[in-house]
Amino acid sequence: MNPIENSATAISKGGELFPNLLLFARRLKERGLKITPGRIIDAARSLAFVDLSNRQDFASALRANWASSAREISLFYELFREFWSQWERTERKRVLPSPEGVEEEGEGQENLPFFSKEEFSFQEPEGSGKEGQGLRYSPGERLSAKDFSKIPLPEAPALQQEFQRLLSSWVMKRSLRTRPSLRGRNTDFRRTFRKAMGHGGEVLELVRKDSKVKPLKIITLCDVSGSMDASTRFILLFFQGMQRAFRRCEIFVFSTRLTRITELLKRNRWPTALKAIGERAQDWSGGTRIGQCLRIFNERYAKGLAAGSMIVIFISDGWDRGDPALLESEMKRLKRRARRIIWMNPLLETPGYQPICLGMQAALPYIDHFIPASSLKSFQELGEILILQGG
Amino acid sequence: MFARIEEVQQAMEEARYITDRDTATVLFLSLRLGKPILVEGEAGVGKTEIAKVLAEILGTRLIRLQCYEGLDATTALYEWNYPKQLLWMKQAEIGASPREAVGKDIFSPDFLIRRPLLEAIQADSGKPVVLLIDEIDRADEEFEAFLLEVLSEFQISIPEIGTLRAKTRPQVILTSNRTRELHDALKRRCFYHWIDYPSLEKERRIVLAKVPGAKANLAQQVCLFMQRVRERDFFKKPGIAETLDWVQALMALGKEDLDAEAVQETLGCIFKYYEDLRQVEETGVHSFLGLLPRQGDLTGAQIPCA
Repeated sequence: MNPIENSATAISKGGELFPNLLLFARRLKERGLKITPGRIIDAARSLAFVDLSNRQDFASALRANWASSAREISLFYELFREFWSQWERTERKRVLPSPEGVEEEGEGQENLPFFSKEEFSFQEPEGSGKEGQGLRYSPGERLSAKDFSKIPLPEAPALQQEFQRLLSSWVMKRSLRTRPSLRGRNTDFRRTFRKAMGHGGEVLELVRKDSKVKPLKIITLCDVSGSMDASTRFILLFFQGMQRAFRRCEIFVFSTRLTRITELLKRNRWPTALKAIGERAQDWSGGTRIGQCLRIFNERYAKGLAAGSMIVIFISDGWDRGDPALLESEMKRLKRRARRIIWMNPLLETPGYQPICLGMQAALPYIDHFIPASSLKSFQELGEILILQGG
Repeated sequence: MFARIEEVQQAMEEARYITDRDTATVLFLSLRLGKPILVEGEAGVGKTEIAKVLAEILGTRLIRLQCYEGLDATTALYEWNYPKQLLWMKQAEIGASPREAVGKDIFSPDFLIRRPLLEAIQADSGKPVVLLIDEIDRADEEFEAFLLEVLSEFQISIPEIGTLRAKTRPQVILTSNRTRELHDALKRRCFYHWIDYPSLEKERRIVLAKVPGAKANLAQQVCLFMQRVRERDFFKKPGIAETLDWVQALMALGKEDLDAEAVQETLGCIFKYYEDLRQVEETGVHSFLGLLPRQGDLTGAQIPCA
C-alpha cells in the first residue's frame, strides 16, 4: 500500500499514537521547547505525509515542527530516543500520563548547583538592614551612596525603580527608516503626490521626511565568574530594569562560556529569572576566559550588526585566566564594530586599585570609558555617557 | 508534486544538490503543508542554495529578497514610480484631462514598482514560486513583524488599489545566520531546519557533483584537508562554498595533487581573514597535509559513492 495512505489511516484511527504524541509534546514543553497547540496540530498534519514505520522520518517530521534552534534540536533527539524507546517497550500497555509535576521538578532543581536558596532569596540577616536608616534621604540618594554588595535585599525593588528612571532618558540614534517631518532633508514623494491629487495633480506643497530616531543597540556582557560574585546580582537587576526601558538591548553573561540571557530576563520575574539563568549558565561562579567568550560573541552575534550601531558594556574585574593575546585581538575586532566600548569595573573604586592584571591590561587600549561598577552613582555615570552617544 | 520523501531527495540530487534524508523530509513536508522553512547554519553551508535548487526542481521562478538593516515596506513590497507619476500629471495638465481621471491613472498598477514580496504574491504561473527571504536576521524587528503578517495571510493591502491576495501561495524559504535571535512568533510559523558542516563523504560527493571534471583524488584530498581545518579554531571556518571555490582554483592552476606549494598559492580561497591566514602560516600547512592520500594511492577512490 502507498505509505502515505498507510500512515493516513493510522492517523485517522488515532489509536495509541495521539495520546503519546501529546505526552511527548508535553515532555518537550517541560524542557523548555516552545510547543503551542498550533504546533501540535501542524505536527499531526505532517505525520499524515510520512511513513510512520520509518523512525527517522517520523523523528524528522516532529523535529521540523517543534525544535527551533540547534540547541533545541539536540535536546529534541535526546528526549525522542528516551521517550519513544520507552513507548515501544510498553507498546501494548495503556499509557497513562505520568505523575510528573512533583518528581520532575525535584529533579530539575538538582541541576541548579549554582544557586543555593540562601544566596538568592531576598532575605538577608536583619542586622544589615539597619545601617541605611537615614530617614531624611530619598531612597534613591540613600542607595546611591552604598556599595551594592552591602545593600539589604528588601530594597531591591526601590533600586530597580531607580534604575528605570535613570534609564528612561537614554540614547537614540538615527535610523534608516523615515517619518514625515516639517523640516526633513528629503522629499516624501509618496505623500507629496497624494496631497497633489487634491489639487488635480498640481504639486503645491512638498512633504518632507526625516530619519526616524531609534534606540542604539546596547549590548551588555556581564562577568559572572567567582571573583565577581558580590556585585553580579545587582548588576543584573540593573540591566533587567534597562530591558524594560528599551527593546533593543541584549544581555549576556560569561565566565568560561558565553550565555545569552536576554529572553530569560525579559520573560521572568526577578527571582525566577535568576533561577533560570543559573540553569542556563552552567559556568556561574567558575573561572574566567574573557577572550574566548568575546570571540564567540564577535563571531556569532556581532557580525551581522551594522558597524557603529551598538554600544558594548563590559562588566568585569578583568581577572582572566585565558590567553591575553586572544583577548586583545578580539577586543580589536569588537572595536571595529562597536560605536563605543564601556568597561565597568567593580574594583575601580577600591582605594589604591591599579588595572594591572593581564586581562585588564590587554583590553584597556580599546576601551572608550573605564568606570566603576560598585554603586548606583557609577550607573548614573554610565547613563550620562550613553546620553552623549545619542543623536 | 512529490508523493514521497525519496522523490524529493532524488530530484535534489539530480539538480546536483547532495543532501540527506532529514533535509529532504523537511522540504517534503513544507511542500505538502505549504508552511515556510526557516533554515539556519554556519555561513557557506548551502542555505541559500536550497531555495535555488527547490525552484529548479519545481520548475518555477525564484524570487529573492535580501534583507539588511533598515529594510522596509517600500523596498520589500512596493513603491510608486514617482518620476512616471510626475510626468503623467504634467502631461495631463497640458491635455487638460479631468482631475478624477488623473488620480485614477497614476495610482493604477501601471505606476507600481513591484518589489520581491509583491512580485511573489502576484506571480501567476499556476505553479507556486519560490520566495527566498535571505538573511532575515539582518533586518530589524519591525520588518520581522511586518513579514509575519505577510507570511500568515499571503495578502497585501495597497491603500490606493485595494487588497491583493496570492492566487497560489509561494513556497517560502527564510535563511538566517543567527546574528540575533528571531522572534518566536516567526519561528512558530515555520519548519525549522539546521544545516551543519557536511561529513567527509557528503562533501566529497558535493564536490564531484558541483565541479565538473574534478578528479576523485583531488576531491578527496581537498575534503580531508577541509575537515581538518574545521576541527581547528578559526575566526571563520570555511564552508562548502569555500571548498568548491578552492577545487576550481586548484584545477585552474592545473594541480592534480594537493601539496604544500599548491595550498600556499591558493590559501586565499579558504581563509578570508588576515588573522586566520596568519594562524595557518604560523602552524604551517603541513600539519593539515599529513597523511593525505597521494595520487596513485587508491584509498580516496575506493570510498564507495553511496
